[in-house]
Amino acid sequence: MKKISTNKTNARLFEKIAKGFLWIAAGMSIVVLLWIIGSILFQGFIAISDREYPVIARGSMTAAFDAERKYTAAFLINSGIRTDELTAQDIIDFYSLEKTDWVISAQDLDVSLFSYEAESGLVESFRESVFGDEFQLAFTARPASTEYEMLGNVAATPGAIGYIDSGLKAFAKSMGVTVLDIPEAENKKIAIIVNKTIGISELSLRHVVEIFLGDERKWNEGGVDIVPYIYTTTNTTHSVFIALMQEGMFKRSCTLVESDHEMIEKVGSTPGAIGFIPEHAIDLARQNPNVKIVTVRSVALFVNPAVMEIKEYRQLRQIAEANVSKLFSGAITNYSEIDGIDLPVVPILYKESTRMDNELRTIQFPEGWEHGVDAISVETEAEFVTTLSKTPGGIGFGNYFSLHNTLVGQVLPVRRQEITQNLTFEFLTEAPSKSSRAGGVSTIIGNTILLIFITLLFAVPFGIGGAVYLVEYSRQGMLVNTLRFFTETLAGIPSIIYGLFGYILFRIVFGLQEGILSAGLTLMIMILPTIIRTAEEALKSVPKSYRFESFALGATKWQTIRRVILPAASPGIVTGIILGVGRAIGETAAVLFTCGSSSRFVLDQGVNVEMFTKSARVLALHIFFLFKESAGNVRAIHQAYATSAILIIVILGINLLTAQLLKRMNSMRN
Amino acid sequence: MNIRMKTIFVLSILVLAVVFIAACGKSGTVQSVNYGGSTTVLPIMEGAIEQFQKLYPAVTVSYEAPGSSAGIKGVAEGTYKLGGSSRKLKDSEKESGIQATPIALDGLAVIVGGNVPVADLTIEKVAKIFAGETKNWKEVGGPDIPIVVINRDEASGTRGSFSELVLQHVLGKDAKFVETAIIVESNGDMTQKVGNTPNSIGYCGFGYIDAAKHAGAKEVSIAGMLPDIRNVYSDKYPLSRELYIVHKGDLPKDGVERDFVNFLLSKDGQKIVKDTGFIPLP
Amino acid sequence: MNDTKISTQNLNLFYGDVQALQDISFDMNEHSVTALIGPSGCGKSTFLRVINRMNDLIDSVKITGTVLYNGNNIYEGSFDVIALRKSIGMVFQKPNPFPMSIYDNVAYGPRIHGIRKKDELDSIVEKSIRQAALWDEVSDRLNTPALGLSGGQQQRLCIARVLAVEPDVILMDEPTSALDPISTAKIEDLINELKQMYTIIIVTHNMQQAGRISDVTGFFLNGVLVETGPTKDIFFNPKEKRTEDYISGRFG
Repeated sequence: MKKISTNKTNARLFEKIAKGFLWIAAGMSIVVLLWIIGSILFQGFIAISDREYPVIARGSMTAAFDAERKYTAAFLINSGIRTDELTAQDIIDFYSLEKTDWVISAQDLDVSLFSYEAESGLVESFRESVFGDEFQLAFTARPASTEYEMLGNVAATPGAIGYIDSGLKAFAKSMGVTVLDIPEAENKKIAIIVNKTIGISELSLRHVVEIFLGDERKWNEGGVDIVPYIYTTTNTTHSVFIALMQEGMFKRSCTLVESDHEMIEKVGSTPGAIGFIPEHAIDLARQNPNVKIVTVRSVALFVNPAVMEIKEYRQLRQIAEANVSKLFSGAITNYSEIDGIDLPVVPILYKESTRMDNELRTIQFPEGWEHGVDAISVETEAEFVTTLSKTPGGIGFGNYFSLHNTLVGQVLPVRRQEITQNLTFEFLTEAPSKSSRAGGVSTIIGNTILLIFITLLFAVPFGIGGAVYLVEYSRQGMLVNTLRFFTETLAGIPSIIYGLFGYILFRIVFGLQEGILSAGLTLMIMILPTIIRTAEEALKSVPKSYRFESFALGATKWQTIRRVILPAASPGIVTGIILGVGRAIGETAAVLFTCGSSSRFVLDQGVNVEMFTKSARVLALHIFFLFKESAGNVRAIHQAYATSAILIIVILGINLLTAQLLKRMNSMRN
Repeated sequence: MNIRMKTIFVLSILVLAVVFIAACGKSGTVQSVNYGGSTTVLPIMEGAIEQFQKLYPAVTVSYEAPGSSAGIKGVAEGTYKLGGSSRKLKDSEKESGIQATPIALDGLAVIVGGNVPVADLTIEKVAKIFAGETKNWKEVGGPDIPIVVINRDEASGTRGSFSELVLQHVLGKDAKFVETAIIVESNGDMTQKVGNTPNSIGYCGFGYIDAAKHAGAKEVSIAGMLPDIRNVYSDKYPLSRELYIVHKGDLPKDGVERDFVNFLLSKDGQKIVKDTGFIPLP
Repeated sequence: MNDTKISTQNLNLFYGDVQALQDISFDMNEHSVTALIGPSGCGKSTFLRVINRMNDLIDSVKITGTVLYNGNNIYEGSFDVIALRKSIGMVFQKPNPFPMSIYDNVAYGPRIHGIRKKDELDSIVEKSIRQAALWDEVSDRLNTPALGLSGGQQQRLCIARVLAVEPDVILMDEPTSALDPISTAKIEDLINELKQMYTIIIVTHNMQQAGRISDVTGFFLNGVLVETGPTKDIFFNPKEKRTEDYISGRFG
């Protein structure tokens, strides 16, 4: 009696333990799966990145180019450009030709610059902030320290060119120097002079710019070298010359318009265009749906040079956004607290209700703004600059446009974590360009679909045919068992070996180029065992009675297979095919050596036989290549996640589809 | 026709189809050229190929990246018409007639994890850290935390260059990387790893500095010199190297390869070099 | 009297070494119902399967003797088995319609024999289902799955399926043993009607059924055809003792 009850309790105990293990296993797998899928999907749709900017977050719709805010402009961009905010540095980079395309908005668009024809204070002020005083002139330029020396050099050197105050024109002529007729120079009261052996009397401003920048080196084909002379001391003529150069540089890089109206219209009708309008024209711009006014972030943190010195391996190079307000509230009193050198923080702020102060108050700091500590108070920008230079440890806010040339190297970049949208509709529909720095993955999706198609084209007939043979025709014997053994073994081989095999067989032996044909054949071999196995099981599970009944009605074996058995086995067969597709879509190692890396769509030159043997990139490999070619592409990791998300969604979709298909097919039976 | 014959018939059609297509591939109805080599040079090549194809749409150019050594070998064997290399040619390679044309400069930047307050190091200190002699951040002005060294895989040309420019330069020809370093397989991986690993130090090409920052890492100046183009041009930044296109013998005058190399050296080509984060030739 | 439709002479059948049928000589007439009775395992189903050569599907089966259908030996080398099976249909014990619609089940036979036109198929399907006394119950749902029918309906559907190929002879292997009494009665009525146009050979181990519906009966025991004759005679006046013992239930 006792023995029986003990056994019963033991049995129940074991049952409970087994059940417990089952729950744990199931729970773990669900958690892990959800975690993996969840995190990839999350990062696929949302990009989190650390970004460093020379300016602070939040900006205003207008930018000021000078301290007194006499010259302010709003910047317009074509509505097709996918950004609503630009930093002052971006704008400066565009207009100085440092950046020539819209990679910052991930678009394959060239930047088209617009400016005004007429010289105005606004345009001049903007130009000055873009170029500053010190841009790189031709390194073949020779020095002159006085106007007299300038004249002498130009007169004596064949091929020489220089500049003087226009008041000295007559004197110049008397020295045997040719004065060129250049209207823009005339307007600025400056004269461009050349050696008299150069037989020209006028020159376009564009040429002057090219000569003094060093882009133009000879006066004529195979002729005299150009020898530019520039002043080494700062005198008024030189400053005016710099202004003239700036005018010329703008003129050669921008399309010029004559009115605010034209500016708005042209920016609206040119893809990739950027332009600017005076503040009062903002309402006018708002009426045009093809342009948008971008927010310009132009307030930056400027520091005394001592703050960014290198001492004992340390150097303050950036500041986290969250810490900015702490410097001014007194929460942080020494730069060493934010990984800088040991130097006390000395905040400099504008007096309350000055324009700058008002502007500051409109900036929302993440930690709030507390004007807590005793800051040095200044009233004008000039005062700010002098105070900053005198105060080691000094730090304060300033206008990037007007100060970045004056306080070179004294900008403290701000670092923040940004959360942006990652996988977007555009990502799916645009082709990758500029080595994936812009665009999406549309062509790659196309290549992937074609690859799967080719894989199935071969795998399905061979797979189903093989299974039908194994089940219906062959007798149990050596052949069948051997075949089965090989099929089972094939299923376990690592995919990289398939890749290698495919490379050797299809690319070397058959001589096929890399492309979807080689890769498709390799994948076919890889998923064949899966399809044969599942098809075989499906066929075997069809009741024998169907076969008998079909024969009894006078059907041949082939008719029976085609009309009764295959349809009855189709849910299982389709499952096998879909499982194979699921595996093939995510394959990297198997297609690495056979498919190629070109992100062009194989059909982009039309449908022809070459589509099979062109290098083609597919989704799973794209992730791999993104890492490899991520130089210059800060978004590479995010694009990799977005691509992963696409793959996961496709695979989830395939599995759901399978489940639905199975449900529907089974209902036909019941 | 009974079933068996039908199946055989269908199968043989399929096999014939494959062979036919294979034959097409062999006959070379497409002008398809293969280049290959360094992973570092890959972005430049991809960008250049993209532009170059617009001028020569009839040619399909592809570039694979199994590494500098594989690229040079491929050129020697004829598998690649042009190769990319991020290291100098060995004497043995030069003897077999291979030539290298510089197409860009690349700088190597030292990067550290976001929580490391050290912003400047000397080349000697860097060498000692990567050789495992300096093990703790406090020895270089940081907190008392062990340094996590992250290194590239052995096949990497970047690793080779770093070894030459830093380790061997300071510690002699036999200097070796510390064995306990974590290994990553590409520049991209390196930026992610350093960005995500506290107390870490690694190195990457100039083109990856921005990606490194995005991942949370910071660049280190060498003896006060920041890794940027100007400092490389003025020779103030010591860690720089040339990137090459390698080819066997002289390039034929009217071949695609000649045009391609000329394109790389042209203003447009050098712009691509700059856009991908490398340094145009001075 | 009706003409002989099917005749076996000295038929022997071996499953490998085991002899399942011994020297069977039996004549079956057209337009009649011939019942084959006997205990389980006596060979009656095997005998039935000889007639439409379904035994060919089993390996290791060896047959000697003659089987004549309309005077032709169906086991002669060049005999067209497909045509044979078209003319001699079979209904199985367990109703097993194909996993298709009712329409497709019945149209299966005609389709594999080459009929493609929709109107031809429609009329054949309707005619067959009517003949199988099923039309009123399914005419409005021909395109629904056949497996949705009840057991009795499914069996009548299988009969319709056979009728659709316009056979000559219908073999039935215990067609009602898996059905309820009402369905059984319906099918027995059906058989009575069908015998006017077809020759029916039915295996049954339900003696009462044999008594109800058959004209001629053959009694099998251990692979031997013990006695044949008009059903009344077999049941009320058996010549052999073994027959009498079986009929009176001394063994089952």
